[in-house]
Amino acid sequence: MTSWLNRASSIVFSRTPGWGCALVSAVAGVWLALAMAAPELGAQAKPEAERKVAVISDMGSMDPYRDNSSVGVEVQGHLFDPLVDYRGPDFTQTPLVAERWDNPDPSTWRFFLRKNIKFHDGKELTAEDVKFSLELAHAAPTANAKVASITEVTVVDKYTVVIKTAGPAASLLANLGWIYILPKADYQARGADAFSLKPIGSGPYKLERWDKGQRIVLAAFDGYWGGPKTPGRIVLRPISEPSTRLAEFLTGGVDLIQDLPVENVKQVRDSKDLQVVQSKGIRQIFFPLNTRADTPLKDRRVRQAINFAIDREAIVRDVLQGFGEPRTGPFGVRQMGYNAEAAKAAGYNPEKAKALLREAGFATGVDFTWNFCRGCWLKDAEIMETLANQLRAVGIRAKLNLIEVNQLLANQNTGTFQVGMIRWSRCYDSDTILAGIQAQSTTQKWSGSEELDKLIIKARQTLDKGAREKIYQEIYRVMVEDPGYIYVHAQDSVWGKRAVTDWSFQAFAGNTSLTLLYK
Amino acid sequence: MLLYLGRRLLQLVPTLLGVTLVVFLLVRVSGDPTQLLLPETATPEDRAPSRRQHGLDQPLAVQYLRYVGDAARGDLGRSLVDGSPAIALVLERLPATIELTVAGMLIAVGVGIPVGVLSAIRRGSLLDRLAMIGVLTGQSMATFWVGILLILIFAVQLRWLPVSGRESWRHLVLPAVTLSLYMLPLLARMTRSSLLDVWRQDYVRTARAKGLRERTVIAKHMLRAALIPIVTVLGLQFGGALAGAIVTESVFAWPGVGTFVLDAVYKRDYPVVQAAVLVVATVYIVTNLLVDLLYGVLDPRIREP
Repeated sequence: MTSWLNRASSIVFSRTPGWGCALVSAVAGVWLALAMAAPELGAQAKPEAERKVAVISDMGSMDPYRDNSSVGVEVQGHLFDPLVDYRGPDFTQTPLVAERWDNPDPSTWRFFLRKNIKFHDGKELTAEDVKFSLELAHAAPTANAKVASITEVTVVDKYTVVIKTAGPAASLLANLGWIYILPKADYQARGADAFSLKPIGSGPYKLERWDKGQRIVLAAFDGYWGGPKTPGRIVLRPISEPSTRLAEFLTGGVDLIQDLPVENVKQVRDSKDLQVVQSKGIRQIFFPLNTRADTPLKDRRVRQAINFAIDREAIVRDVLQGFGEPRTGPFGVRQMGYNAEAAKAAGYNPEKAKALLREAGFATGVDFTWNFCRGCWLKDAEIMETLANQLRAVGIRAKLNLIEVNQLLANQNTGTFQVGMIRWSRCYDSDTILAGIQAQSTTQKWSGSEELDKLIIKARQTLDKGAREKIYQEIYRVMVEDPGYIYVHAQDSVWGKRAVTDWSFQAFAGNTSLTLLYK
Repeated sequence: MLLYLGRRLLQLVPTLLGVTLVVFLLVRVSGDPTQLLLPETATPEDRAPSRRQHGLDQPLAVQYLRYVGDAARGDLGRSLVDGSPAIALVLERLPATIELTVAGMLIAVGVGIPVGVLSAIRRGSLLDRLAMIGVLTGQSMATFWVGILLILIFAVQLRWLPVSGRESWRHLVLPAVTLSLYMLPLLARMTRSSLLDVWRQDYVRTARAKGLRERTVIAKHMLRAALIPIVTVLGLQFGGALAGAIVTESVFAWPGVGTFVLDAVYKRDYPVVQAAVLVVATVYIVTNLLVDLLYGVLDPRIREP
């Protein structure tokens, strides 16, 4: 190849500026030949105990009160610790910065911090840092909803913090799982901008390096109070294109891959070197119904009919190929407040759907527009087509309107839609789900009822777990009998890993969409 | 020449002003960035402070004038996502995009021009026809598809080259080849066409009549004259490739401006999008200015007043 290029160069180019082109051709030819002939040239030996992870995007900031993107939160979960968290497949309550806590009264929480927790710069974490972090969260639009119930934070002594809430706040501990403790002195000295690039936390990993758009390198913190974690290093590589991410995984460029395409699951399972890691029903897709607009959707019977017309089992089996779970209400089987009786009563029943439409005066059917976005969830376009067909069978004609996700969310925020879409993860605390999806009802008023709002507030203020569970089961029943959403399914999270990589899915921050990358 | 250069540099100002106005209006048509910066549950009351902080509550004309005034002082605003200076975010990624674009261009020049010359020399022959079919095929193939195909063949199947990233010169090979396919076909066709135009000139016939070898006629007399339209196309294509590298960068996870700006567009990070477009426009204009100056080197007649 090189000689061909040189021959062509000598025919065509014999003097300035031709010699420049000849040189270019020769260099290009030699470069390509070398690159292809020496696959190991320049390759670096893999450091011991390093785990490479292909993630779907880069992050914007290391500051947890500036960046709440999914990858951002995942990285922050390794750099920082909260007071307490709910972790693992069963959301085990995990004391972290706080060793223990108590409630002197229903509106007061007293947290006793572990002694000698070090930040990555060697300084000790104290109650002042906790108070500072809560104040930062309160001022941050990305986090203030989590601390909205907190009215006062007091430092009692170096290792004791008292938090007062506006009435009993049953979700406080779950919400605190999102509030990371930052070093007050360092943050104030360097400022938020500098902290965003070079953060200091007290988590099991510290930031070794961040080459934007290329890699985020986390190194195990030797001074971590819980002991150093393995692997010694985690390298996150943002690769947005799914096929490229897969190619890296298949060629050994990475050890873990986020969002393994389901079409490639069999290929991975058939390989003896690779494995699939699946977490069931982690993200539910809610389709909000705008009951305030002047459409047939105002009628509860129409909304019930829509839900009865959907064959969820078929969608999970045939469209999702088993990578999901059916949902007939706001919570899944393992979620606080799941109501088995209400779930069963709301199952697929096309005859009941037709009867309800007749009863509501829509014997000839109803029409509405259903906004959706492409690339927003697993098999979104296929599921939407299937849903439209299932609804058509009972006389409900859904006009599918494909729009860009940001525009879809903007339409929902302004109430200018008929049926939309919200994605929400399975969480430890059901109030996290309801605060997310039902907040719209108290602000934009396109769905919900006074009865439902009262139940949500009551559950939020009930500290007793058993009593709280019953209230959420009642909420489930109300949300099924007077549906403000079309309930269809929750999709699985599918990751790929090398067989030799010792890792399994470990939820944190009480959220199944997030996972720790270390053991 | 200096006068000409000065005049062209002055023309930069109104051109860039026009670019800022167009991109300023276009990004704002996409919607309110606070819809995406804040959680989906944020209320209009939650968004108001954010809108005030970023000046989004002001009339458009006021926002634009403030932006232009700040830009004249070198301040292109701060990213709405992480608060860092927008121009710094763009400039730290620009070298990667320029590296990729230059590498792609070198391949396009190194392959495209010789192919075009050979096609012209052997016009009408099987070689000519095959070359033009190959060029047309390359032009018809989508960059995205070519990139993924190259990954499948050379990285996954053959394991000769890495899949993605920017760690060594080997990582540059596949994305540069992919991007070169954007420029190579037109270069090859333009070279062929330009040479064939020059072929028919009287001075070329005279050179042959003087008994010069064909190789000398082509290299010394024809090619230099044919280079002017080729250089023009190169200049235009460089700018196009710079902007078009976005697809190649996405496929190969190349950490350049393209992927970064794509993300900024999705997040409606106005300052970053504006800064990136301004930077790319400036590079494009300066490149074409250099091309214009190069004409004078290639054709002395252009230098004469």
